[in-house]
Amino acid sequence: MKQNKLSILLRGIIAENPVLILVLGTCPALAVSTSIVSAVSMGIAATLVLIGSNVVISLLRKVIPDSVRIPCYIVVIAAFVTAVQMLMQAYLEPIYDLLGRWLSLIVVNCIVLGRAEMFARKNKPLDSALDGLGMGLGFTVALLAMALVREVFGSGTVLSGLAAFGVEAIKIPFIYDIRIPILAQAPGGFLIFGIMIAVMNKITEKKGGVKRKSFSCDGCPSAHLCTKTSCSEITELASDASEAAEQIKEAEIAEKKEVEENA
Amino acid sequence: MLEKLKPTIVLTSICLVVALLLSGINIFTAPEIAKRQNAAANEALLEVLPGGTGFEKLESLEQLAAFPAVTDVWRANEGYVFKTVTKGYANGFTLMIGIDNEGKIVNTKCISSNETYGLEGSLNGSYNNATVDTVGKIIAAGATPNSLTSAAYYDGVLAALQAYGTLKGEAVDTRTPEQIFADNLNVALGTEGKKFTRWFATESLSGVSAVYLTDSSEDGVVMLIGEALVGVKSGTAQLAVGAYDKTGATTAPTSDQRTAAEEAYAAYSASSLTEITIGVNGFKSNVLKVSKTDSGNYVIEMVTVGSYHTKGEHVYGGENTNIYFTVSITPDGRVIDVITTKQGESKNYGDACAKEYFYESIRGASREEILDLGFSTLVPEESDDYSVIIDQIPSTATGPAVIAGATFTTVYYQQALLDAFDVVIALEASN
Repeated sequence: MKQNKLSILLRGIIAENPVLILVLGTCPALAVSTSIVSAVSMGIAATLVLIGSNVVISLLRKVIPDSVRIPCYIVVIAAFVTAVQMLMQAYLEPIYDLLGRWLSLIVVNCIVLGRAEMFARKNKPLDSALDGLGMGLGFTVALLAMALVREVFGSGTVLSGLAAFGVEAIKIPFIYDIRIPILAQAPGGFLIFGIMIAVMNKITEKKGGVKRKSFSCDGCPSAHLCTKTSCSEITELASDASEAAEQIKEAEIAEKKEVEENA
Repeated sequence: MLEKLKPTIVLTSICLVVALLLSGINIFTAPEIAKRQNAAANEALLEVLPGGTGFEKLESLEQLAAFPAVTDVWRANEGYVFKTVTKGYANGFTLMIGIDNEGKIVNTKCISSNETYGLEGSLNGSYNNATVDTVGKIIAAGATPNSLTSAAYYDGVLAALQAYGTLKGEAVDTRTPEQIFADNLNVALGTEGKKFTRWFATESLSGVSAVYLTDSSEDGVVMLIGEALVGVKSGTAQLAVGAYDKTGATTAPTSDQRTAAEEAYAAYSASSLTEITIGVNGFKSNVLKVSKTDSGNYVIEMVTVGSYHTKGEHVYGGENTNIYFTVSITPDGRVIDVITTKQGESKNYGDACAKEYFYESIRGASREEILDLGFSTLVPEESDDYSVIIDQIPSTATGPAVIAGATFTTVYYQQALLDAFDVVIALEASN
């Protein structure tokens, strides 16, 4: 089904926001949302990686075999992350220092690999680029929203993190005196995160459940144990672990019988 | 066959292309990154050796194997910069030390640490102008000398100074200044391997800072006169040696040294104490014994409340924590000497009350000087209400009997010193 270009771009910002709806990339989201500057910086870096990796993976989608698709995606994503790192370290060193280890951890950010797997490998490069841009913007908006709350009400300041550029953090009158420090720390981060997810769920509430999707067995590590023809059936069976084990056992017995009969 | 190899070929090809592209980006970014890193490193070097030019990092530090704390060395036209890593409360206490071509420290800076109390910043610059011969006597200002942070800072500075000497061709001498001092005490008396204790002075000795004794009176005594140690045997000054002179070279004492040493020896030999009976009324229970010398000085033995940490708990008061000390005071109210005879304080906290630099801070002090610090008045009205004095003394406080970071010990030691002064005042008034 052809998708509207604008809808591809926009859904990553609200309807399928990677942080607040899909709940991906939670770790860096909580880690860098203590300051507006670091949140925006991380968002921009992740967006560049998303766009680049989505385009390349989309271009190579007919070339990469299913069995090695995940390693290939990781290599491509790592390449873009490394490139962004090197360029930042060379030309934007204060931001590079500000983001620290979180920059290199974009490689294992679920959003990037998730979009590569869910969208880029099935769509054209332009659509993939738009998806990457949309998801990146959504990631940035989510981080910015959290940072606005955490820095303003947790630290009572804005623009902290620009000291290397000669810009001192600005203390907000009155709010600085009544700031709530725990918001700038991990427990407060989780609290704000949970509240924002609840708000987003309310905003994007719609009827009907999520459609199940089936995936190729070629890249699945459990494929040799699986007796079913599609992954959605295993998903149903997985909720009843003993039933699944029993079915696997029956399949083994059946296979054994077949071998004996052939012999 | 090709189908089976395809995944391997595709993955390998992607890896190769990625490697090529990243190499290409590296060609452009590596010089920029190196330039910035060099600028940052140069900035750090210039901070401790201002105006330094021609910085060149030494490739091999084999020559400095005796100083493992030294991790990097830069040679400049104006001197050297050393980077040392020592251990304070935590590992990784990293210092940059700039030393000029005369062996004097230009500046020091802590560039990285994981210290508990964050005192290291206040120590930056406190060893400026020190040399390897004078560093042992400098007490770093800004943090209690007793803290692990101060010790880490001192260790780094000392290692840099010793390494500098080695680079300049001096013989490797890994002794600390304290060890050199102890060795030179033996040199001054012509003895070997003797242990010395400092004599608790009950007399003011003009020109003599301290007297050191062995356990045998036949050996003689050593007087610290200025920067020199002078050995005195049978009342005659015999040999002089620089207190921190690494070579231990001896000379004949100068006439001033001879006069000061022999007069001090006479006063030391003649010193005797007569105990004064303490009346039940008029003195506080922490005065244990009062004696008076023939020259009219008072020697007072005191006990005061101490504290220590154990298993995360702070214990105040009690026999195990009491601090016993002896103080000698002139009739006009000046401390001649003080020595802590028994204490159970926490290591590297309150146990500073038994260290030489603590005594040095008190010698010559008057009652008013201690009272003016304002800490002694923090003693709570209720004897159990110790919590009111916690964290009252700034970490950078200095002064007679101040142990920054050991509030309890400081407050009670000072209060006990004031009580000792009150004894002298009362006894002088009754004469």
